[in-house]
Amino acid sequence: MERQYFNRSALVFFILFGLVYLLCIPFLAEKLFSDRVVKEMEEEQAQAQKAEDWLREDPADTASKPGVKKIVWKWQDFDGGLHKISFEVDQAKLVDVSRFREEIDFDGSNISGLYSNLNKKSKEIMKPMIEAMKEEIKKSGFPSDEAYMKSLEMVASAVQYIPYTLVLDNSGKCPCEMPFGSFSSECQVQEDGRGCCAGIIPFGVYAPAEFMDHRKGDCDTRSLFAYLLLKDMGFDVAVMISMQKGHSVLGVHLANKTYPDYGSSPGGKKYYLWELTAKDMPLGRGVDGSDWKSALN
Amino acid sequence: MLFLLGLQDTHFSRMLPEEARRQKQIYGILIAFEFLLALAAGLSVYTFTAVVFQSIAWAITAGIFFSLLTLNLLNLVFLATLNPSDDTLYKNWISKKYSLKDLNDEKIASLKTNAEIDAYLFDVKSKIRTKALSFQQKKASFVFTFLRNLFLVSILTLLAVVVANGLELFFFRHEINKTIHDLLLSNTLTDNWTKEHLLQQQGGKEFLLIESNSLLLNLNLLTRGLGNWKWILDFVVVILFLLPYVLMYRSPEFLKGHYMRELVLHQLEISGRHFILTRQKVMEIKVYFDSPEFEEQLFEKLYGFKKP
Repeated sequence: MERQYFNRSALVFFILFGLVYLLCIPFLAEKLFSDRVVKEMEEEQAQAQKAEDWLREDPADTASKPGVKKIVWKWQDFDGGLHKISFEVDQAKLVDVSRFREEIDFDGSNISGLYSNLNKKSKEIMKPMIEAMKEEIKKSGFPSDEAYMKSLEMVASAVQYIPYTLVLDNSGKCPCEMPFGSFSSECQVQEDGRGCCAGIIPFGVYAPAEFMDHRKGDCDTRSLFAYLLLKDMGFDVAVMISMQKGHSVLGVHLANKTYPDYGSSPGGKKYYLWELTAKDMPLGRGVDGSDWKSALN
Repeated sequence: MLFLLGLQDTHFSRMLPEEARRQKQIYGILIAFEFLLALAAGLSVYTFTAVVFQSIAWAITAGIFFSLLTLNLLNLVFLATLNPSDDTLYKNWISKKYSLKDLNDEKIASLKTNAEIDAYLFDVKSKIRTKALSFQQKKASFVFTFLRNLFLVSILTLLAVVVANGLELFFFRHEINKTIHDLLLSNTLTDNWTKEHLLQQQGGKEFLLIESNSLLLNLNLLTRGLGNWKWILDFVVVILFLLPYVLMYRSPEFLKGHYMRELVLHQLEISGRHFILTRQKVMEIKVYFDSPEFEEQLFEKLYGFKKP
């Protein structure tokens, strides 16, 4: 009995060892190794190419009637799903919102007031986009238990998908070197995220309606835009700012989930932090700092 | 070959022939396990080094080095389980439960030479040997045992997974090469950097083993090509590495085996010899303390003049 324990174990060892080394026989190795790898990789590449083509600007998308601008947003969500929304906006209103922003009297202290004004002015103009976004979410048919988070992710991925553009006020100029990278002198959305717009007053922030139109924006422009969109859809969100980091992110209040990093509103409400300047960044990831406060909620 | 495990031939010579044969056989097989696993580890590291450094000399050197390292590591891990209990030593020797009860001062004094001490201890060992003692493994606390096993199993598993990947790369190198060729032919790899730096050797040289110097690309192709078979092969290699450890830990032929018995008796003999020699020294000193010379010397030291 004592001997059986060792003998059987040794037998198992040698059999398994022999089986592994049987793979030296080319015929067996060939049998185990699937030749589908190339086909799979070809399919993946074709799919990626298809997504890239689909997301590329199509002149037909921007064909507009006089006085009306047709805007198209295309993006890929966290799960790789492709989305497209298109809507029309009165061109005069877009010009008006830029003028309104430039004329705001901002002394540098009341950031909440500035955000609130830009928000109010943009809300009406952005109605068509909000409706189109709601429609897209509805079309996606998320299961009811995931709908809340998936809808949030849908909007966040739409904003994150747009390459970063640095926005500076009068005190800044392009090109420039920042602690987080170097930026060109072109005020354009660039694929490498190195676009830079200078002289955007006040405070180097675009109104949400402007971002909706030209999609140029850095942290606070994006947070403010996502805030307006989500707030109108009924989500409990906030624009969060950190003086320590000189950064802004979207804050999301969730009753049944917790994340390690969060900020708070003046009333003490917890808002989890969502980085909107980088693609595919999930909620609660990649945000440092300990002084996050809501500037608008 | 048994010396590789640190086993001493003298212990085998004190067993019955059948016992010695069986013990030599199981420890011999244990060494075979170690050699085979070390060989697998060497082959695995040879493959990794050949892919990364593209040098046959480095690959062979690293393979041999890692093979020897693995051999030592396995030796250490397996033999760490052969741990005779201190309690057993105490019960059987110091407490004089079995054969030292007659070891009084008179008997100790009668053992004049080393040969006599050896003969006496040989006799004691023979008596203890026939008692069929059980040499239990040292009973440690649950937390200690759990942490130690967790640590050793983790190390062995980590080693096994690394070795498994290397072996799989070696065994499936032809299939990976074929896949790389097919990818190049099908124009799926459009990235020029990959083609120039990972799939082309500098100076137009030939690749060693696998026609790519990127370990990550090779592992990616391997994982995709093998699918679930990769998990199964990894699992088998993990079992191969863990099996000897489990065997050492669970098999009665190791922990309660004849070699362990001889090892414990050897420990007892060493303690016994030192016990006898110490007692003899104590007795010697005692005799000296009781002698008139000592009294005279002490008197002189204390009062500065000789006892009248």
